[in-house]
Amino acid sequence: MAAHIGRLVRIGCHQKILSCQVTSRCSPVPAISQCAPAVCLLQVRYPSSKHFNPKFRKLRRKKIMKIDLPDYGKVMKDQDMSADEKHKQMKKDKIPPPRIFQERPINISCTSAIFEPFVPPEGDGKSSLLSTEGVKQKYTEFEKKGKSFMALRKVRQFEDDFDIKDFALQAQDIVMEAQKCLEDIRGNRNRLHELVSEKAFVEMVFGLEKKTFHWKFVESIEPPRVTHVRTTEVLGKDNLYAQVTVRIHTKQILAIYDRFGRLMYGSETIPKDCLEYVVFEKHIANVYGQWRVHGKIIPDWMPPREPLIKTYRVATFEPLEELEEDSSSTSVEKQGEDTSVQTAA
Amino acid sequence: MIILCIGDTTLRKSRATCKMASISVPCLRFLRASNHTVFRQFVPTLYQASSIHTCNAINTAYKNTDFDKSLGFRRKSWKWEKYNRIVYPPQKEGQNIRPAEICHARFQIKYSPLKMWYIAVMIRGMSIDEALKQLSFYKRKGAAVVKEVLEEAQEMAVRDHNVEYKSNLWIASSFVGQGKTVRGLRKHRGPRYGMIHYRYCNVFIRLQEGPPPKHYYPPPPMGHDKMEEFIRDQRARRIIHSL
Repeated sequence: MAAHIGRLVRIGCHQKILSCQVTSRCSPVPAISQCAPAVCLLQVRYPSSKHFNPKFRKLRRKKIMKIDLPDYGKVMKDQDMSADEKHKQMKKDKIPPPRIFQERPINISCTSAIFEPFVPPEGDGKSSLLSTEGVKQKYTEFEKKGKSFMALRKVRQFEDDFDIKDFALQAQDIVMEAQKCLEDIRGNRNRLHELVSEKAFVEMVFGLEKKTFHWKFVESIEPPRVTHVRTTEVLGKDNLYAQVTVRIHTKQILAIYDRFGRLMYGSETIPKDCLEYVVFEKHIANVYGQWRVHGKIIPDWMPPREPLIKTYRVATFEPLEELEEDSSSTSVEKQGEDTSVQTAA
Repeated sequence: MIILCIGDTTLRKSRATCKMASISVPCLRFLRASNHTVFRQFVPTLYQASSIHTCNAINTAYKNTDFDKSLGFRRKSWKWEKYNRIVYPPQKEGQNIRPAEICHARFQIKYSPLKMWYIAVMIRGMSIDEALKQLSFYKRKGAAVVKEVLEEAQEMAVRDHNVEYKSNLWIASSFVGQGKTVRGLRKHRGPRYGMIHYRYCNVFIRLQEGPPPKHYYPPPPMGHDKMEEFIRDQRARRIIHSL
Protein backbone atom coordinates (compact mmCIF):
# COMPACT_ATOMS: atom_id res chain seq x y z
CA MET A 1 0.00 0.00 0.00
CA ALA A 2 2.82 2.41 0.83
CA ALA A 3 4.46 1.62 -2.49
CA HIS A 4 1.18 2.35 -4.29
CA ILE A 5 0.96 5.81 -2.70
CA GLY A 6 4.60 6.52 -3.46
CA ARG A 7 4.03 5.82 -7.13
CA LEU A 8 1.14 8.26 -7.21
CA VAL A 9 3.24 10.94 -5.60
CA ARG A 10 5.99 10.60 -8.22
CA ILE A 11 3.48 11.05 -11.07
CA GLY A 12 2.83 14.70 -10.31
CA CYS A 13 3.39 16.74 -7.21
CA HIS A 14 0.90 19.40 -8.29
CA GLN A 15 -1.87 16.89 -8.37
CA LYS A 16 -2.54 17.20 -4.74
CA ILE A 17 -3.92 14.15 -3.18
CA LEU A 18 -5.77 15.74 -0.37
CA SER A 19 -8.05 12.92 0.37
CA CYS A 20 -7.51 9.25 0.43
CA GLN A 21 -10.84 7.67 0.94
CA VAL A 22 -10.69 4.36 2.69
CA THR A 23 -13.78 2.24 2.87
CA SER A 24 -14.06 -0.96 4.82
CA ARG A 25 -16.61 -3.53 4.00
CA CYS A 26 -16.73 -5.32 7.29
CA SER A 27 -19.98 -7.17 7.84
CA PRO A 28 -21.88 -6.47 11.07
CA VAL A 29 -21.37 -10.04 12.27
CA PRO A 30 -17.64 -10.34 12.25
CA ALA A 31 -16.29 -13.60 10.97
CA ILE A 32 -12.56 -13.76 11.22
CA SER A 33 -11.81 -14.81 7.64
CA GLN A 34 -14.59 -12.86 5.93
CA CYS A 35 -13.60 -9.39 7.19
CA ALA A 36 -11.77 -7.93 4.15
CA PRO A 37 -11.42 -4.15 4.19
CA ALA A 38 -11.39 -2.69 0.65
CA VAL A 39 -9.28 0.40 0.20
CA CYS A 40 -10.54 2.86 -2.36
CA LEU A 41 -7.93 5.41 -3.32
CA LEU A 42 -9.72 8.36 -4.91
CA GLN A 43 -7.44 10.98 -6.35
CA VAL A 44 -9.26 14.20 -5.60
CA ARG A 45 -8.01 17.54 -6.85
CA TYR A 46 -9.09 20.86 -5.34
CA PRO A 47 -8.36 24.16 -7.11
CA SER A 48 -5.22 25.83 -5.92
CA SER A 49 -3.51 28.97 -7.08
CA LYS A 50 -0.15 27.80 -5.87
CA HIS A 51 2.62 27.24 -8.39
CA PHE A 52 3.85 23.63 -8.60
CA ASN A 53 7.44 24.63 -7.90
CA PRO A 54 7.73 26.60 -4.66
CA LYS A 55 11.42 27.24 -5.24
CA PHE A 56 11.12 30.53 -7.17
CA ARG A 57 8.29 32.10 -5.16
CA LYS A 58 10.19 35.27 -4.25
CA LEU A 59 11.23 36.05 -7.80
CA ARG A 60 7.76 35.41 -9.05
CA ARG A 61 6.43 37.79 -6.44
CA LYS A 62 8.71 40.58 -7.67
CA LYS A 63 7.21 40.32 -11.14
CA ILE A 64 3.81 41.57 -9.96
CA MET A 65 3.26 45.33 -9.65
CA LYS A 66 1.67 45.84 -6.30
CA ILE A 67 -1.56 47.83 -6.45
CA ASP A 68 -3.52 49.10 -3.48
CA LEU A 69 -7.04 48.20 -4.41
CA PRO A 70 -9.47 50.84 -3.21
CA ASP A 71 -11.94 49.63 -0.62
CA TYR A 72 -15.15 50.44 -2.49
CA GLY A 73 -17.29 49.07 0.27
CA LYS A 74 -15.82 51.57 2.70
CA VAL A 75 -16.12 54.41 0.20
CA MET A 76 -19.79 53.69 -0.32
CA LYS A 77 -20.39 53.47 3.40
CA ASP A 78 -18.66 56.82 3.85
CA GLN A 79 -21.09 58.39 1.44
CA ASP A 80 -23.97 57.12 3.52
CA MET A 81 -22.75 58.60 6.75
CA SER A 82 -24.76 61.29 8.42
CA ALA A 83 -23.31 64.71 9.10
CA ASP A 84 -22.43 63.90 12.71
CA GLU A 85 -20.58 60.75 11.72
CA LYS A 86 -18.75 62.61 8.99
CA HIS A 87 -17.76 65.24 11.48
CA LYS A 88 -16.30 62.58 13.78
CA GLN A 89 -14.51 60.86 10.91
CA MET A 90 -13.01 64.11 9.70
CA LYS A 91 -11.77 64.81 13.20
CA LYS A 92 -10.12 61.40 13.27
CA ASP A 93 -8.48 61.95 9.90
CA LYS A 94 -7.50 65.46 11.01
CA ILE A 95 -9.19 67.12 8.04
CA PRO A 96 -10.36 70.66 8.85
CA PRO A 97 -14.14 71.02 8.98
CA PRO A 98 -15.88 72.56 5.99
CA ARG A 99 -16.75 76.19 5.85
CA ILE A 100 -20.39 76.81 6.53
CA PHE A 101 -21.84 79.68 4.60
CA GLN A 102 -23.01 82.37 6.93
CA GLU A 103 -25.54 83.79 4.50
CA ARG A 104 -28.57 81.56 4.65
CA PRO A 105 -32.10 82.27 3.64
CA ILE A 106 -34.22 82.60 6.73
CA ASN A 107 -37.80 81.51 6.68
CA ILE A 108 -40.02 83.64 8.89
CA SER A 109 -43.44 82.60 7.72
CA CYS A 110 -44.04 80.12 10.54
CA THR A 111 -42.82 79.20 13.99
CA SER A 112 -41.39 75.85 14.93
CA ALA A 113 -43.79 74.71 17.61
CA ILE A 114 -47.16 75.14 19.20
CA PHE A 115 -46.78 77.62 22.02
CA GLU A 116 -48.72 76.95 25.21
CA PRO A 117 -50.73 74.12 23.72
CA PHE A 118 -54.35 73.77 24.55
CA VAL A 119 -55.09 70.94 26.95
CA PRO A 120 -58.39 69.45 25.86
CA PRO A 121 -60.63 68.48 28.76
CA GLU A 122 -60.93 64.78 29.31
CA GLY A 123 -64.14 63.18 28.20
CA ASP A 124 -64.65 65.64 25.39
CA GLY A 125 -66.45 64.15 22.44
CA LYS A 126 -68.24 61.52 24.51
CA SER A 127 -71.99 61.60 24.34
CA SER A 128 -73.22 62.50 27.81
CA LEU A 129 -75.16 65.62 28.80
CA LEU A 130 -73.13 66.47 31.85
CA SER A 131 -69.78 66.38 30.12
CA THR A 132 -70.89 68.59 27.24
CA GLU A 133 -72.15 71.17 29.66
CA GLY A 134 -68.90 71.31 31.47
CA VAL A 135 -67.06 71.53 28.23
CA LYS A 136 -69.29 74.33 27.01
CA GLN A 137 -68.57 76.26 30.15
CA LYS A 138 -64.88 76.12 29.48
CA TYR A 139 -65.34 77.32 25.96
CA THR A 140 -67.52 80.29 26.82
CA GLU A 141 -65.25 81.28 29.69
CA PHE A 142 -62.48 82.61 27.60
CA GLU A 143 -64.67 85.11 25.86
CA LYS A 144 -64.89 87.28 28.97
CA LYS A 145 -61.51 86.87 30.68
CA GLY A 146 -58.32 84.91 30.54
CA LYS A 147 -55.23 84.64 28.39
CA SER A 148 -57.14 83.66 25.30
CA PHE A 149 -59.28 86.77 25.60
CA MET A 150 -56.22 89.00 25.83
CA ALA A 151 -54.63 87.23 22.92
CA LEU A 152 -57.83 87.68 20.94
CA ARG A 153 -57.68 91.38 21.57
CA LYS A 154 -54.11 91.47 20.29
CA VAL A 155 -55.19 89.65 17.15
CA ARG A 156 -58.02 92.17 16.67
CA GLN A 157 -55.42 94.96 16.77
CA PHE A 158 -53.94 93.67 13.53
CA GLU A 159 -57.06 92.15 12.04
CA ASP A 160 -60.15 94.29 12.78
CA ASP A 161 -62.82 91.98 11.54
CA PHE A 162 -61.67 88.80 13.19
CA ASP A 163 -64.82 86.99 14.20
CA ILE A 164 -64.50 83.74 16.09
CA LYS A 165 -67.53 82.02 14.63
CA ASP A 166 -66.65 82.90 11.04
CA PHE A 167 -63.09 81.90 11.62
CA ALA A 168 -64.12 78.53 12.99
CA LEU A 169 -66.07 77.75 9.81
CA GLN A 170 -63.22 79.02 7.66
CA ALA A 171 -60.80 76.88 9.64
CA GLN A 172 -62.82 73.74 9.04
CA ASP A 173 -62.85 74.46 5.32
CA ILE A 174 -59.09 74.96 5.31
CA VAL A 175 -58.47 71.66 7.08
CA MET A 176 -60.79 69.76 4.79
CA GLU A 177 -59.23 71.23 1.67
CA ALA A 178 -55.74 70.51 2.95
CA GLN A 179 -56.62 66.87 3.58
CA LYS A 180 -58.08 66.59 0.11
CA CYS A 181 -54.91 68.04 -1.41
CA LEU A 182 -52.90 65.22 0.11
CA GLU A 183 -54.32 62.90 -2.53
CA ASP A 184 -51.95 64.38 -5.08
CA ILE A 185 -49.12 66.04 -3.21
CA ARG A 186 -47.00 66.86 -6.21
CA GLY A 187 -49.83 68.37 -8.19
CA ASN A 188 -51.33 70.31 -5.30
CA ARG A 189 -48.12 71.38 -3.65
CA ASN A 190 -48.62 75.08 -4.25
CA ARG A 191 -52.12 75.07 -2.81
CA LEU A 192 -50.96 72.86 0.03
CA HIS A 193 -48.29 75.36 0.97
CA GLU A 194 -50.94 78.08 1.05
CA LEU A 195 -53.15 76.08 3.38
CA VAL A 196 -50.57 74.47 5.62
CA SER A 197 -47.55 75.93 7.38
CA GLU A 198 -44.10 74.56 6.69
CA LYS A 199 -43.91 72.72 9.98
CA ALA A 200 -47.23 70.98 9.47
CA PHE A 201 -46.48 70.28 5.80
CA VAL A 202 -43.65 67.99 6.78
CA GLU A 203 -45.78 66.14 9.29
CA MET A 204 -48.64 65.71 6.87
CA VAL A 205 -46.68 64.67 3.86
CA PHE A 206 -43.97 62.44 5.31
CA GLY A 207 -44.46 58.80 4.41
CA LEU A 208 -47.02 59.43 1.69
CA GLU A 209 -44.54 59.52 -1.18
CA LYS A 210 -45.10 55.98 -2.37
CA LYS A 211 -48.64 55.54 -1.14
CA THR A 212 -52.11 56.30 -2.47
CA PHE A 213 -54.19 58.45 -0.18
CA HIS A 214 -57.98 58.49 -0.49
CA TRP A 215 -59.86 60.87 1.79
CA LYS A 216 -63.42 62.02 1.90
CA PHE A 217 -65.33 64.39 4.12
CA VAL A 218 -68.72 62.94 4.99
CA GLU A 219 -70.35 65.42 7.38
CA SER A 220 -69.64 67.47 10.42
CA ILE A 221 -71.09 66.20 13.69
CA GLU A 222 -70.76 69.44 15.65
CA PRO A 223 -70.11 72.97 14.42
CA PRO A 224 -66.44 73.89 14.70
CA ARG A 225 -65.45 75.96 17.69
CA VAL A 226 -62.43 78.05 18.61
CA THR A 227 -61.10 76.90 21.95
CA HIS A 228 -57.80 78.63 22.46
CA VAL A 229 -55.97 81.70 21.22
CA ARG A 230 -52.36 82.62 21.89
CA THR A 231 -49.91 85.11 20.48
CA THR A 232 -46.14 84.97 20.62
CA GLU A 233 -43.32 87.33 19.79
CA VAL A 234 -40.35 85.99 17.93
CA LEU A 235 -37.09 87.90 17.51
CA GLY A 236 -38.54 91.29 18.29
CA LYS A 237 -41.33 92.87 20.17
CA ASP A 238 -43.70 93.60 17.33
CA ASN A 239 -43.10 90.41 15.35
CA LEU A 240 -46.25 88.61 16.42
CA TYR A 241 -47.54 85.19 15.50
CA ALA A 242 -51.01 84.11 16.51
CA GLN A 243 -52.00 80.50 17.09
CA VAL A 244 -55.64 79.54 17.33
CA THR A 245 -56.88 76.08 18.27
CA VAL A 246 -60.11 74.98 16.68
CA ARG A 247 -62.14 71.97 17.78
CA ILE A 248 -63.45 70.08 14.78
CA HIS A 249 -65.79 67.09 15.14
CA THR A 250 -66.48 65.46 11.81
CA LYS A 251 -67.07 62.19 10.02
CA GLN A 252 -64.34 61.29 7.57
CA ILE A 253 -63.44 58.40 5.31
CA LEU A 254 -59.79 57.53 4.97
CA ALA A 255 -58.14 54.75 2.98
CA ILE A 256 -54.41 54.46 2.46
CA TYR A 257 -53.05 52.04 -0.12
CA ASP A 258 -49.44 50.94 -0.26
CA ARG A 259 -47.17 50.91 -3.30
CA PHE A 260 -48.85 47.85 -4.78
CA GLY A 261 -52.42 49.09 -4.47
CA ARG A 262 -53.22 47.02 -1.40
CA LEU A 263 -55.26 48.55 1.39
CA MET A 264 -52.99 49.43 4.28
CA TYR A 265 -55.18 51.43 6.60
CA GLY A 266 -58.80 52.49 6.92
CA SER A 267 -61.66 51.74 4.60
CA GLU A 268 -63.32 53.28 1.56
CA THR A 269 -66.84 52.82 2.85
CA ILE A 270 -66.90 53.08 6.64
CA PRO A 271 -66.76 56.67 7.95
CA LYS A 272 -65.04 57.44 11.22
CA ASP A 273 -65.84 60.05 13.83
CA CYS A 274 -62.85 62.33 14.16
CA LEU A 275 -62.46 64.79 17.00
CA GLU A 276 -59.52 67.00 16.14
CA TYR A 277 -57.95 69.98 17.84
CA VAL A 278 -56.26 71.72 14.94
CA VAL A 279 -53.90 74.61 15.57
CA PHE A 280 -53.85 77.42 13.02
CA GLU A 281 -51.12 79.96 12.80
CA LYS A 282 -50.81 83.35 11.22
CA HIS A 283 -47.99 85.82 11.08
CA ILE A 284 -50.22 88.71 12.07
CA ALA A 285 -47.45 91.29 11.93
CA ASN A 286 -47.13 90.49 8.24
CA VAL A 287 -49.64 92.12 5.90
CA TYR A 288 -49.63 89.05 3.70
CA GLY A 289 -49.97 86.54 6.50
CA GLN A 290 -52.45 83.73 6.06
CA TRP A 291 -54.20 81.49 8.50
CA ARG A 292 -52.66 78.10 7.92
CA VAL A 293 -52.79 74.71 9.62
CA HIS A 294 -49.85 74.53 11.96
CA GLY A 295 -50.40 71.29 13.80
CA LYS A 296 -52.74 69.10 15.70
CA ILE A 297 -53.08 68.41 19.40
CA ILE A 298 -53.62 64.78 20.23
CA PRO A 299 -54.55 64.42 23.88
CA ASP A 300 -53.49 61.41 25.93
CA TRP A 301 -57.02 60.34 26.71
CA MET A 302 -57.94 60.05 23.05
CA PRO A 303 -58.69 56.42 22.16
CA PRO A 304 -55.97 54.93 19.96
CA ARG A 305 -56.34 54.89 16.20
CA GLU A 306 -57.51 51.88 14.30
CA PRO A 307 -54.60 49.48 13.86
CA LEU A 308 -53.02 48.79 10.49
CA ILE A 309 -54.47 45.93 8.53
CA LYS A 310 -51.20 44.00 8.53
CA THR A 311 -49.29 42.92 11.59
CA TYR A 312 -45.85 44.33 12.17
CA ARG A 313 -43.08 44.32 14.67
CA VAL A 314 -42.84 47.33 16.91
CA ALA A 315 -39.42 48.80 16.33
CA THR A 316 -37.17 49.37 19.30
CA PHE A 317 -34.96 52.40 19.17
CA GLU A 318 -31.86 53.22 21.10
CA PRO A 319 -32.34 56.15 23.45
CA LEU A 320 -31.44 59.42 21.77
CA GLU A 321 -28.33 61.15 23.01
CA GLU A 322 -28.85 64.37 24.86
CA LEU A 323 -28.16 67.24 22.48
CA GLU A 324 -26.17 70.18 23.76
CA GLU A 325 -28.12 72.60 21.59
CA ASP A 326 -31.40 74.00 22.85
CA SER A 327 -34.51 72.01 22.22
CA SER A 328 -36.06 74.43 19.74
CA SER A 329 -34.47 72.56 16.84
CA THR A 330 -37.11 70.62 14.99
CA SER A 331 -36.58 66.90 14.83
CA VAL A 332 -38.83 64.55 12.96
CA GLU A 333 -39.29 61.39 14.97
CA LYS A 334 -37.58 58.33 13.56
CA GLN A 335 -40.73 56.43 12.87
CA GLY A 336 -41.16 53.38 10.73
CA GLU A 337 -43.33 53.65 7.68
CA ASP A 338 -46.15 51.86 9.45
CA THR A 339 -46.40 54.29 12.26
CA SER A 340 -46.04 57.46 10.24
CA VAL A 341 -49.75 57.84 9.45
CA GLN A 342 -50.49 61.08 11.19
CA THR A 343 -53.25 62.79 9.30
CA ALA A 344 -56.10 60.51 10.27
CA ALA A 345 -57.63 61.11 13.63
CA MET B 1 -39.67 78.39 -2.50
CA ILE B 2 -40.03 78.35 1.20
CA ILE B 3 -37.71 75.76 2.68
CA LEU B 4 -37.65 74.28 6.10
CA CYS B 5 -35.12 72.27 8.01
CA ILE B 6 -35.76 69.08 9.85
CA GLY B 7 -33.49 66.62 11.58
CA ASP B 8 -30.91 64.29 10.20
CA THR B 9 -33.23 61.45 9.26
CA THR B 10 -35.38 63.08 6.61
CA LEU B 11 -32.43 65.06 5.36
CA ARG B 12 -30.59 61.83 4.64
CA LYS B 13 -33.54 60.64 2.65
CA SER B 14 -33.85 63.92 0.83
CA ARG B 15 -30.13 63.97 0.12
CA ALA B 16 -30.44 60.73 -1.74
CA THR B 17 -33.35 62.13 -3.70
CA CYS B 18 -31.44 65.29 -4.56
CA LYS B 19 -28.99 63.16 -6.47
CA MET B 20 -31.72 61.63 -8.51
CA ALA B 21 -32.72 65.02 -9.72
CA SER B 22 -34.08 64.66 -13.20
CA ILE B 23 -35.21 61.19 -14.08
CA SER B 24 -37.21 60.68 -17.19
CA VAL B 25 -39.87 58.12 -16.60
CA PRO B 26 -40.19 56.74 -20.16
CA CYS B 27 -36.67 55.29 -19.94
CA LEU B 28 -37.91 52.31 -17.95
CA ARG B 29 -38.25 49.64 -20.59
CA PHE B 30 -39.29 46.61 -18.60
CA LEU B 31 -42.53 47.62 -16.98
CA ARG B 32 -43.90 45.17 -14.53
CA ALA B 33 -47.03 47.23 -14.24
CA SER B 34 -50.41 46.91 -15.86
CA ASN B 35 -51.76 49.37 -18.38
CA HIS B 36 -53.23 51.54 -15.70
CA THR B 37 -50.10 52.19 -13.72
CA VAL B 38 -49.84 55.55 -12.12
CA PHE B 39 -46.27 56.53 -12.66
CA ARG B 40 -45.68 58.84 -9.84
CA GLN B 41 -42.15 60.14 -9.44
CA PHE B 42 -40.69 60.34 -6.05
CA VAL B 43 -41.03 63.99 -5.11
CA PRO B 44 -37.51 65.26 -4.52
CA THR B 45 -38.54 67.90 -2.04
CA LEU B 46 -35.58 69.68 -0.61
CA TYR B 47 -35.79 70.30 3.07
CA GLN B 48 -32.65 72.29 3.59
CA ALA B 49 -31.57 74.45 6.40
CA SER B 50 -33.28 77.75 6.89
CA SER B 51 -35.43 78.95 9.65
CA ILE B 52 -35.44 81.08 12.64
CA HIS B 53 -35.01 78.03 14.80
CA THR B 54 -31.71 76.12 14.96
CA CYS B 55 -31.05 73.92 12.02
CA ASN B 56 -28.60 71.47 10.61
CA ALA B 57 -26.63 73.33 8.00
CA ILE B 58 -23.75 70.92 8.35
CA ASN B 59 -25.22 68.40 5.92
CA THR B 60 -25.36 70.89 3.09
CA ALA B 61 -21.92 72.19 4.00
CA TYR B 62 -20.34 68.77 3.63
CA LYS B 63 -21.54 68.54 0.06
CA ASN B 64 -18.50 69.73 -1.84
CA THR B 65 -15.69 68.84 0.50
CA ASP B 66 -12.99 66.20 0.15
CA PHE B 67 -15.28 63.84 1.92
CA ASP B 68 -17.83 63.95 -0.82
CA LYS B 69 -15.73 63.55 -3.94
CA SER B 70 -17.43 62.01 -6.92
CA LEU B 71 -16.70 58.32 -7.21
CA GLY B 72 -15.08 56.89 -10.28
CA PHE B 73 -17.54 54.02 -10.41
CA ARG B 74 -21.25 53.39 -10.41
CA ARG B 75 -22.55 53.33 -6.88
CA LYS B 76 -26.21 52.70 -7.44
CA SER B 77 -28.33 51.55 -10.29
CA TRP B 78 -30.88 54.26 -10.82
CA LYS B 79 -32.67 51.99 -13.22
CA TRP B 80 -32.92 49.07 -10.83
CA GLU B 81 -33.85 51.42 -7.99
CA LYS B 82 -36.60 52.91 -10.11
CA TYR B 83 -38.56 49.70 -9.87
CA ASN B 84 -38.91 50.40 -6.17
CA ARG B 85 -40.60 53.70 -6.93
CA ILE B 86 -43.43 52.46 -9.10
CA VAL B 87 -46.76 53.18 -7.42
CA TYR B 88 -49.65 51.01 -8.58
CA PRO B 89 -53.24 52.27 -8.45
CA PRO B 90 -55.46 50.82 -5.73
CA GLN B 91 -56.75 47.36 -6.50
CA LYS B 92 -60.43 46.62 -6.79
CA GLU B 93 -62.33 44.02 -4.77
CA GLY B 94 -62.26 41.05 -7.11
CA GLN B 95 -58.65 41.37 -8.33
CA ASN B 96 -55.90 39.06 -7.16
CA ILE B 97 -53.72 40.67 -4.53
CA ARG B 98 -50.62 42.01 -6.19
CA PRO B 99 -47.48 40.54 -4.58
CA ALA B 100 -44.90 43.00 -3.34
CA GLU B 101 -41.67 43.28 -5.35
CA ILE B 102 -38.47 44.68 -4.00
CA CYS B 103 -35.37 45.34 -6.10
CA HIS B 104 -31.97 45.69 -4.52
CA ALA B 105 -28.42 45.74 -5.80
CA ARG B 106 -24.89 46.11 -4.59
CA PHE B 107 -22.03 47.42 -6.65
CA GLN B 108 -18.29 47.01 -6.86
CA ILE B 109 -17.93 43.77 -4.96
CA LYS B 110 -14.38 42.46 -5.12
CA TYR B 111 -15.21 39.12 -6.71
CA SER B 112 -15.14 37.88 -10.24
CA PRO B 113 -18.51 38.13 -11.98
CA LEU B 114 -18.04 34.70 -13.51
CA LYS B 115 -17.60 33.17 -10.09
CA MET B 116 -20.45 35.18 -8.61
CA TRP B 117 -22.75 33.94 -11.37
CA TYR B 118 -22.79 30.46 -9.90
CA ILE B 119 -23.99 31.79 -6.57
CA ALA B 120 -26.59 34.06 -8.14
CA VAL B 121 -27.98 31.22 -10.20
CA MET B 122 -28.10 28.86 -7.25
CA ILE B 123 -30.49 31.05 -5.27
CA ARG B 124 -32.92 31.71 -8.10
CA GLY B 125 -36.42 30.57 -7.22
CA MET B 126 -35.57 29.76 -3.60
CA SER B 127 -37.44 31.13 -0.66
CA ILE B 128 -35.42 33.73 1.18
CA ASP B 129 -34.95 31.58 4.27
CA GLU B 130 -33.68 28.70 2.19
CA ALA B 131 -31.36 30.99 0.27
CA LEU B 132 -29.92 32.48 3.45
CA LYS B 133 -29.43 28.99 4.88
CA GLN B 134 -27.65 27.73 1.78
CA LEU B 135 -25.47 30.79 1.43
CA SER B 136 -24.33 30.66 5.02
CA PHE B 137 -22.86 27.23 4.38
CA TYR B 138 -21.48 27.84 0.93
CA LYS B 139 -17.70 28.01 0.93
CA ARG B 140 -17.31 30.93 -1.44
CA LYS B 141 -16.40 34.53 -0.79
CA GLY B 142 -19.30 35.75 -2.91
CA ALA B 143 -21.80 33.82 -0.84
CA ALA B 144 -21.20 36.01 2.21
CA VAL B 145 -21.74 39.16 0.16
CA VAL B 146 -24.92 37.91 -1.48
CA LYS B 147 -26.22 36.89 1.93
CA GLU B 148 -25.70 40.48 3.16
CA VAL B 149 -27.49 41.85 0.12
CA LEU B 150 -30.43 39.50 0.72
CA GLU B 151 -30.67 40.52 4.35
CA GLU B 152 -30.64 44.20 3.39
CA ALA B 153 -33.34 43.61 0.82
CA GLN B 154 -35.45 41.70 3.34
CA GLU B 155 -35.15 44.56 5.84
CA MET B 156 -36.09 47.10 3.19
CA ALA B 157 -39.11 45.00 2.20
CA VAL B 158 -40.52 44.92 5.70
CA ARG B 159 -39.72 48.50 6.57
CA ASP B 160 -40.53 50.35 3.34
CA HIS B 161 -42.66 48.16 1.09
CA ASN B 162 -45.37 46.91 3.42
CA VAL B 163 -44.37 43.27 3.43
CA GLU B 164 -45.97 41.60 6.41
CA TYR B 165 -43.78 38.56 7.01
CA LYS B 166 -40.10 38.71 6.27
CA SER B 167 -40.03 34.98 5.54
CA ASN B 168 -42.80 35.21 2.98
CA LEU B 169 -40.40 36.27 0.22
CA TRP B 170 -38.75 34.41 -2.61
CA ILE B 171 -36.00 35.33 -5.01
CA ALA B 172 -37.61 36.19 -8.29
CA SER B 173 -34.51 37.52 -10.06
CA SER B 174 -30.90 37.19 -9.22
CA PHE B 175 -28.17 38.10 -11.64
CA VAL B 176 -24.70 39.52 -11.85
CA GLY B 177 -23.14 42.38 -13.75
CA GLN B 178 -19.56 43.48 -14.29
CA GLY B 179 -18.15 46.26 -12.19
CA LYS B 180 -15.21 48.52 -12.99
CA THR B 181 -12.10 46.39 -13.40
CA VAL B 182 -8.82 47.63 -11.98
CA ARG B 183 -5.90 46.62 -14.13
CA GLY B 184 -2.46 45.65 -12.94
CA LEU B 185 0.69 44.42 -14.64
CA ARG B 186 2.76 41.30 -14.41
CA LYS B 187 6.21 41.29 -15.94
CA HIS B 188 7.27 38.52 -18.26
CA ARG B 189 10.64 37.98 -19.88
CA GLY B 190 12.09 41.05 -21.60
CA PRO B 191 9.81 43.96 -22.43
CA ARG B 192 6.70 41.79 -22.25
CA TYR B 193 3.94 42.40 -19.76
CA GLY B 194 0.82 40.58 -18.89
CA MET B 195 -2.34 42.33 -17.71
CA ILE B 196 -3.84 41.33 -14.39
CA HIS B 197 -7.53 42.08 -14.02
CA TYR B 198 -8.80 42.79 -10.53
CA ARG B 199 -12.40 42.08 -11.23
CA TYR B 200 -15.44 43.55 -9.51
CA CYS B 201 -19.03 42.51 -9.86
CA ASN B 202 -22.47 43.93 -9.19
CA VAL B 203 -25.22 41.77 -7.78
CA PHE B 204 -28.90 42.42 -8.50
CA ILE B 205 -31.70 40.82 -6.52
CA ARG B 206 -35.46 41.01 -6.87
CA LEU B 207 -37.57 39.65 -4.05
CA GLN B 208 -41.23 38.87 -4.46
CA GLU B 209 -43.76 38.29 -1.74
CA GLY B 210 -45.34 34.87 -1.47
CA PRO B 211 -44.28 31.25 -1.42
CA PRO B 212 -41.68 30.23 -4.00
CA PRO B 213 -42.98 28.65 -7.21
CA LYS B 214 -42.63 24.91 -7.73
CA HIS B 215 -40.54 25.35 -10.86
CA TYR B 216 -38.49 28.45 -11.55
CA TYR B 217 -37.47 27.26 -14.99
CA PRO B 218 -39.99 25.23 -16.99
CA PRO B 219 -39.25 21.59 -16.29
CA PRO B 220 -38.69 19.16 -19.15
CA PRO B 221 -41.90 17.43 -20.22
CA MET B 222 -42.61 14.06 -18.65
CA GLY B 223 -45.14 11.35 -19.23
CA HIS B 224 -48.17 12.28 -21.23
CA ASP B 225 -46.88 15.72 -22.20
CA LYS B 226 -43.64 14.23 -23.43
CA MET B 227 -45.50 11.74 -25.56
CA GLU B 228 -47.67 14.48 -27.06
CA GLU B 229 -44.62 16.53 -27.91
CA PHE B 230 -42.96 13.57 -29.51
CA ILE B 231 -45.99 12.81 -31.63
CA ARG B 232 -46.28 16.45 -32.64
CA ASP B 233 -42.66 16.62 -33.73
CA GLN B 234 -42.94 13.41 -35.67
CA ARG B 235 -46.03 14.61 -37.47
CA ALA B 236 -44.33 17.92 -38.31
CA ARG B 237 -41.64 16.19 -40.35
CA ARG B 238 -41.68 17.12 -44.03
CA ILE B 239 -39.59 16.31 -47.03
CA ILE B 240 -38.23 19.66 -48.12
CA HIS B 241 -38.10 20.73 -51.75
CA SER B 242 -40.43 17.93 -52.61
CA LEU B 243 -43.13 18.11 -55.18
